[in-house]
Amino acid sequence: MRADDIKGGLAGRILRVDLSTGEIRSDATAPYASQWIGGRAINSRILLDEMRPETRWSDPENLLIFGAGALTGIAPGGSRTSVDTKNVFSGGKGSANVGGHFGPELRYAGYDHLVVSGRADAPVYLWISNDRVEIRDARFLWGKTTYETEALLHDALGDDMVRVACIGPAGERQVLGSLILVDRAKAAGGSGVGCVMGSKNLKAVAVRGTGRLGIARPDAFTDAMATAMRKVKESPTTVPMQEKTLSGVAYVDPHNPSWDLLFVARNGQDDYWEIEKRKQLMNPATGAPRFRRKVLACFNCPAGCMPFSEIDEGAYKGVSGEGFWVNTIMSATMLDIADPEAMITAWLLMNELGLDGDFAAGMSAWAYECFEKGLLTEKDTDGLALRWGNGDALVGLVRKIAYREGVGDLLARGPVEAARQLGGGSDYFAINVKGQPSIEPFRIPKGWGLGVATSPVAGRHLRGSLLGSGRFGPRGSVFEPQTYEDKPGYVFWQALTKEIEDITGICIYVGTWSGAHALEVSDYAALLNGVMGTDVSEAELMRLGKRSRALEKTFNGLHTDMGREDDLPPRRYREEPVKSGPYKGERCEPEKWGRMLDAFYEIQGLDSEGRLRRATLDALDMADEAEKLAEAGKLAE
Amino acid sequence: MKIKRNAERCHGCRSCEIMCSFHHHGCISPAASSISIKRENATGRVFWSVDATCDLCKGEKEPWCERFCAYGALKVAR
Repeated sequence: MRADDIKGGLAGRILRVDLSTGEIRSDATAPYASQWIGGRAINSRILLDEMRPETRWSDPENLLIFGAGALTGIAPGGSRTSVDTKNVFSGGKGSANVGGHFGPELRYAGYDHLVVSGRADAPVYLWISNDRVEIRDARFLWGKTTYETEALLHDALGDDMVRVACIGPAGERQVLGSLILVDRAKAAGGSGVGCVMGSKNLKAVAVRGTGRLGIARPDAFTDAMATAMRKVKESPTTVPMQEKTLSGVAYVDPHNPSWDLLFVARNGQDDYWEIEKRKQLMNPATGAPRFRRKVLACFNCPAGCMPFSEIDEGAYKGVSGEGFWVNTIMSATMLDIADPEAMITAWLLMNELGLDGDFAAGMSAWAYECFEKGLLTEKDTDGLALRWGNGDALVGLVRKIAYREGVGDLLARGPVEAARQLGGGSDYFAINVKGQPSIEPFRIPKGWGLGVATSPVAGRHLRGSLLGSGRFGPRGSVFEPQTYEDKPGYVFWQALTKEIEDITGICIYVGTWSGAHALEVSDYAALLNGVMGTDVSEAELMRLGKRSRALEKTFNGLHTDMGREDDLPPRRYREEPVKSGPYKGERCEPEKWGRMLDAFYEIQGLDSEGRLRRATLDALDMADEAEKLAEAGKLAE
Repeated sequence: MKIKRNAERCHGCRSCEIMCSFHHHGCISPAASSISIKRENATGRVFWSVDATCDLCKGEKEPWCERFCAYGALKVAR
């Protein structure tokens, strides 16, 4: 596609801000969009082109890029923004994806992407109001929580329609697993993106846009919108989710099959969480759903999945906010916490203080196991009894991590460094993938684990992970979650559809993964063509997905020495079988897992060490990437 | 006749805003919409207003805010 083939949909500019020099400029988006359409793929392209491998995450030369999808602000579920940078855990590609209303606003202000480089001498925030872009003094915001930051910016700018993406005290202190929070609720959580933002002395990005996004083919666009809306409406999961959220639908039933597949108990000591605890956490009368006041939606989202909770009694009376999610339940089981009020409070506190939930839960679960084994005592934790199930202790520990107080300073360093410092064999149960804490299941759902272990951005479950229980997987396919043989094909398909979802900015919960589970790649093609005036096919989009994934693999090849070892499940899950429940005895059997990994590499065109092959890149018209890898000795010839 | 919102059903997604702007201008722009949705993130409350530029999508079978609302939150009150 040529740049002038794109007739609509783009805001038009890539905004570039250098915090070291104060320089602000912008480039045209179209030359990038003609090759990579939008969102994460363009972010990846810029990172690969403009960052040297020697650059560390904490260097001013590291780039922090916000990239709205090509359909963000336009299509159903088109709310997403990809945040990309150097990964603080792996040193490779870092990426987090966030919904809400920030990305659409950035596009209405005239910018598809925002590239931040350099480091400010003192805390600053970025104010973007259409053509007016300013780097402003943020000393009045430094030290404030994310909640306070949004309110103070609304006051300072005199406009409560301003959208804010900001860090909290955790990001300011460069706690590794810090998030960037949008709209006071939606987290760009993974890869330590908030830690990078803190290292740049950038407290917040505030944006207000009143511009327009053009539609190239109005009739085709209207048809594609109507089709998409019909599909969402016809999905059997849409209405229950709109009324009760996904976790409120799936997990109020303690016998729902997902309970047995998806949840890791007590830092991986088991993969079965007892029925009574499930009931305590999630029953409608006294569990987490009891505190749900409302369900809210991200921008133009027909699914609507996010609960607003309010605790009206007990020790946590007065706590309220948006955000209780499946990851909240995954965190609860990792810590054995069945107390719904404490779990809601801890989760909202992570948002408020700017801590990624998976990171905080993963590091806390490690600390709880250290406490169980006597490696940490109440003397080390300032009196916090980190016993399995103690939700009050978690609330206290979250605060300590965010502010790096006492034992929190140890946990803030991440699983590899914390275990190295504490010793005592604690590295064995410092569960991580490529250095990032992991709360994911590996031993039972093999496709889920394969997606997490091989994710180019150091774990997390959105790069191909699927269950096969009727949720999370290609529509209509039925497969046994715990078997190995058919997983590579499914996982690669799911990884590619996620690439396209991050390129278009359409949420996976409207799309191919779960939730409303309504839209497919053919729908994205129809919407793109209506909006941009292009003629891309479903097959071309799947190929673009491969190219986008290859960009990240290339980045990792050039910037790290990660190889096959780094694509394996955490050691505990290879050695210890599940101890109880219907899947007792399951583990990641090294030989079978290895064969599954071989097949997965083969499907992607990688060699047995996980390196890209020249022929693979050539077939994707990525000869330049092949050359760079060859020069670095990282290409499989 | 005017558009009425059921606040209980509304999830604050703003699809009505953008489809309204598309009707009026053939492009997507909440600022150019007859409808304004305001979300109060601290309380989860969602406010909305319709200004005098609303023409109930003259020329269309039904107003597009109603047609494209996934939550059934908008209806023309006759």
